[in-house]
Amino acid sequence: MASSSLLPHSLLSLPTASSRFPKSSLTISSISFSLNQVSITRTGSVAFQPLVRRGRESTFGIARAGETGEEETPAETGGDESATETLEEESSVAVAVEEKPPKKPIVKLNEIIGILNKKAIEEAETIKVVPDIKPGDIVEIKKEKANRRRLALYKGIVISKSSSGVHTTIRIRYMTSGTAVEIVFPVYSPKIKEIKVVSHRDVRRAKLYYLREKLPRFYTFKKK
Amino acid sequence: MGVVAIASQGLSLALGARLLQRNRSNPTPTPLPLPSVVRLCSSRKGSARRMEVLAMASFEAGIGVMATKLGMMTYIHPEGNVIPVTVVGFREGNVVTQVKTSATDGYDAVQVGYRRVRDIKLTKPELGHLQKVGAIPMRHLQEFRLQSVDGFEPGQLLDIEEIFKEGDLVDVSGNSIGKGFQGGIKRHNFARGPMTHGSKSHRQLGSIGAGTTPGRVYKGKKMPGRMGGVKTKIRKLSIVKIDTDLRAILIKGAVPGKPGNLLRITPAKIVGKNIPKN
Repeated sequence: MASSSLLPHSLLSLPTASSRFPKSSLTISSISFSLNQVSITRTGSVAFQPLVRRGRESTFGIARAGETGEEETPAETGGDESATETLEEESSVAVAVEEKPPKKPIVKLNEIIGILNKKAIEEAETIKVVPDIKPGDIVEIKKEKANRRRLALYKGIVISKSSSGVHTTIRIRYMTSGTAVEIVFPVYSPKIKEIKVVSHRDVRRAKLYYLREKLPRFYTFKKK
Repeated sequence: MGVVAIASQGLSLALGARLLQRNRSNPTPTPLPLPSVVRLCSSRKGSARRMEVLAMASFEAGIGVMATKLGMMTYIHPEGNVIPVTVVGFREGNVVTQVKTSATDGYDAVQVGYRRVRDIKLTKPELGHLQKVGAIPMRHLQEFRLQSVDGFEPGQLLDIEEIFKEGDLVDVSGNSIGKGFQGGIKRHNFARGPMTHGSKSHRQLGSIGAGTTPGRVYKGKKMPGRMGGVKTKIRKLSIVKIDTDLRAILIKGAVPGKPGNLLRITPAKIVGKNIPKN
């Protein structure tokens, strides 16, 4: 019991690597490789028990050497019966841990874009703090112009927000000199130096495109 | 032409051999190169005659790698401009599985494998081919035809940082998105007919030829048919960033296919710079 609960992860990965167990040398080497790629779960450990035992005996050394990070969570070692067994495993595990450096967490391919976006947002946050913006907010945006002289100031109502990682954009609508203007600002752009939420208007929509048909006084704001 | 006539029997043998040599992962076989000069070497063993083929098809400008398209995002350059990029990831693979030389195979190429799979997914011949070099079981095998294959050994791991660096121009090829059976307007950018004024032809082809002379439709006339889902190469894309921890590359612009698509990334072949000469 304890064997399966101690190493459910390492042994769960074995069936996925190959159903023909340790027959060819290629399979064993592929198992140690596959441990890097396969995500580790704890579900369904009971179902794999018979396979688990066989695999463990033959690939014990190889499986254990890889799983250094998981050694901290022996968790459900309820087995009083196999207390001696666990001691043996832990001592051999301790030896394996000293030999290998701590492993990096496995990154799945479909997580890479999320991680890159998070990193980019963290970098952008160092330039300015981006507040939480919702449609209906009246915001003031200070943006750097091309000639890098003065910062241009835009004050208007947020009529839509499009969230997509580091390219999250907001659409501002305001009236200037008798002309209605809508501008799309990428919120995490380094050219935007400051975003400040001045006030908020209660709206019952996520996209306020109806303002285009309304009177200009609903999107006219005085800049101080 | 006389040379070709002499070697006609051997030529058909070589053509047959080339057709069978098609790679498993290549969606469309590379067009059969017609050798301009063919030298027939008679073999004492009497089996299939060896062909030493000169002046053949195109070479790669350098060794390439295989990769997986992950998606697109925006990259904010430190200078402040914003670049649309494709994020390209790497599965376990990019291992040299065979090095072909003109002595053994008649041409110089490096065969690279990509994407680890369970060994039950491969046939025994495929497994044996990979076991010969001690490589992991891999699904895709592609060849990169080079001018010289020195410095490549079977079993060698190709390192992305050594082959490419930021700012390099690359050619990316992969299977494009399939569009199904499409008409002339989408497939060949034809113009629509008028929508009003009593017109009865809106999206049709229009005329497909002249009159009694020539009295037929030319071969290759652009007509509706299946569009997309073929091997497409996008040239001269620049590498914006190489992320070593995540094992990912950011390439400016778009690449063929949807996220998850197999890509083949090679150094860009630029006329005047690095087009390999025969």
